[in-house]
Amino acid sequence: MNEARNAILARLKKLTKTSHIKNTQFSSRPNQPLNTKQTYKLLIEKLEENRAEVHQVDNKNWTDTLVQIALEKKLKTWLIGKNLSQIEQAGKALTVASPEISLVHYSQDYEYLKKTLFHNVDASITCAKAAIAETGTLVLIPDQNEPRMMSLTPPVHVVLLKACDILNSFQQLVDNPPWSKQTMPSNIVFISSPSKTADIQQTLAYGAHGPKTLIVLILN
Amino acid sequence: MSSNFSTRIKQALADPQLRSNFRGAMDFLRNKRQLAFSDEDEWETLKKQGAAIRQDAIQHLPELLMQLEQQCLNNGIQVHWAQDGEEANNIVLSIAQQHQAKLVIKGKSMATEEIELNDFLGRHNIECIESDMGEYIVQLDNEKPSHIIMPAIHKNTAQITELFEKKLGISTPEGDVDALIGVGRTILRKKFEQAEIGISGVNFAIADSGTLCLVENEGNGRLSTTAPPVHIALMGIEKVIPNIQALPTLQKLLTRSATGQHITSYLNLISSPRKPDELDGPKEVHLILLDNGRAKISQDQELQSTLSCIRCGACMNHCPVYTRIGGHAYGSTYPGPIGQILTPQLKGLEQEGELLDACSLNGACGEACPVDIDLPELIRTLRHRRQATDTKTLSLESFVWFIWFKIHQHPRLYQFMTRLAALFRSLKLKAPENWSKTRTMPKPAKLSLHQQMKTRSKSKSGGEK
Repeated sequence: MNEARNAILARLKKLTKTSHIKNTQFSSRPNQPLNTKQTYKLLIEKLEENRAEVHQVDNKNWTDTLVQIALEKKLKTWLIGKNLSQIEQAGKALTVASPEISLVHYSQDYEYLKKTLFHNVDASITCAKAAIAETGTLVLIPDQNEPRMMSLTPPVHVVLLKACDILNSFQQLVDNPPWSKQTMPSNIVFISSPSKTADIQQTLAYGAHGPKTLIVLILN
Repeated sequence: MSSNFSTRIKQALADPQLRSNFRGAMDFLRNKRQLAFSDEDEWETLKKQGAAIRQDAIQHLPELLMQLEQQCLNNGIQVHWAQDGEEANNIVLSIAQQHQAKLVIKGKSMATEEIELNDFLGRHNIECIESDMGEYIVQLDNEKPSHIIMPAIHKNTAQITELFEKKLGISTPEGDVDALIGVGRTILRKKFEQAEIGISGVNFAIADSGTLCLVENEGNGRLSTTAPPVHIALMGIEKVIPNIQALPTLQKLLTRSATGQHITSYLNLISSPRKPDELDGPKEVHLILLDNGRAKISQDQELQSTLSCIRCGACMNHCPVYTRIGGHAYGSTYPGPIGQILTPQLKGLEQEGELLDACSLNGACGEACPVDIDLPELIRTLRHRRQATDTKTLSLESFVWFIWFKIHQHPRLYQFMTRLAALFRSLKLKAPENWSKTRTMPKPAKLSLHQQMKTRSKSKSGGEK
């Protein structure tokens, strides 16, 4: 074990060094600074380009939009997280709207919920921590309240994003990350479209392994 | 060129279906890439940054790898070092045996192809299933990937429909790609649910935070690294980058060069196994750092830049030889230009040097490379080294080039030879048939260029007077 490590490092140390590690600032090209409105528009444009459904909502009506989506798409079983007031609000609105809608709370270990997660949920709703306009990307940090599988196994994934969390570029995000620099979260996921593949004769098909539909609610 | 390689090339060239599949796919990928880099200045800037990040990382591999190891350990990721494929395979096996695993699900990883992990685990009665759609198709037909990004690119929809019917007994409507993907999704979901171990590659590993970055579209990479209780990631030691600040540039270069996408559906950053208060994710994460010849390459100043590669596949997409013969003809894990320089270095020039013959030095790969690897120059360097070591097979060729070299070194000899050529210009020389089939034998001119220039300057100066 250590033998392999030492042997590899010994081989590597033979290489001649030319310099110290450069701490170059890798700013991607001089971005024209976008104003909030442009950033917002660009994000929607890019998300829609990549087949995400985008709804612009406000604090008062957003649960109505969610209920409407659930009814229109006949999404009956919703997977939701815990300890988040907005998500609880969404859950309440969904169950009040139709007796056919039920909730699955992700409140126990994956092993106990496995069957349900893979086979018996129609949709999930989670929150985004940030979004990147230049590529139309949602940044999710799964945790105990909203575990990793929530954005993975349900056929429909709804993401709630606050308009104030939209950034211009990936570079901007990593320069001021919405996570602590000391301890990286266990998992950070950048989502830019529904799951897809072009592995069969370059033909694009959605819903390869993850969600077939990605819906974004942007909260103004 | 050994008979095997040239036979494979001949077979590939004689297969019209294969050729049209590759032609179509390469045209598609090239166009998509071109659109993604339509801004020339941006392309140049990104390329320069990307090349600098990669070169710098290669220069500092020992420090970066030790930092990566330390950070991973701090995060609860177990780190293993493997000098070669055999060691890496045995590490995977021992982890699998500790967990009494019988089923392993794998996300796309060229490093695991390189060490032939599937076969190895199979021999120990552990089933290893590919979950990337392209890899799954290829595995179903007992084949190997023919492209590092799009493994099943050599097959068309009709061939895959037929394959599913034959191997799975499931028939789908003709030309219905969605139905085929649906079949794969249903079958593989069960595997994700059952697998005891998930294996993945690593696109980039961030040293200062101990983070593994995985780039993908399908979600199979995320499922392979989230659903099973144990995740094993295998990475070549060159894939390390210093910090997350370097990631955006490399991500842009990688996905745009590979498929023309500005970003993939998923970019997955894994820094730790499931923490006590978390509800999902693997309970164990293992990182295997694979050398398998890479450290040796890093010591070679001339060839070191081979390790800058981010495995985007742009060099093969732009290679006129790859486009015509496809990936399988190379007979190596990595096909195309990057395979031609990497494989002989990993496995030895004597054994794999013939791969270098399949190149016309047109330079397209070098222009397409997003991290500025001078692939044509590396191919030339390796050809020189091969020639220097190989005395048997190349003796006639070396002799001819030696004469050519001498003639061009001495002006008088050169003049004499061109005069001689002009004198015997009407002699009908016979060129090798393979060459002359598609070309006309050139005829030396009556007067050499030197002579023509001499008479021209004489008559000119005469005219002025």
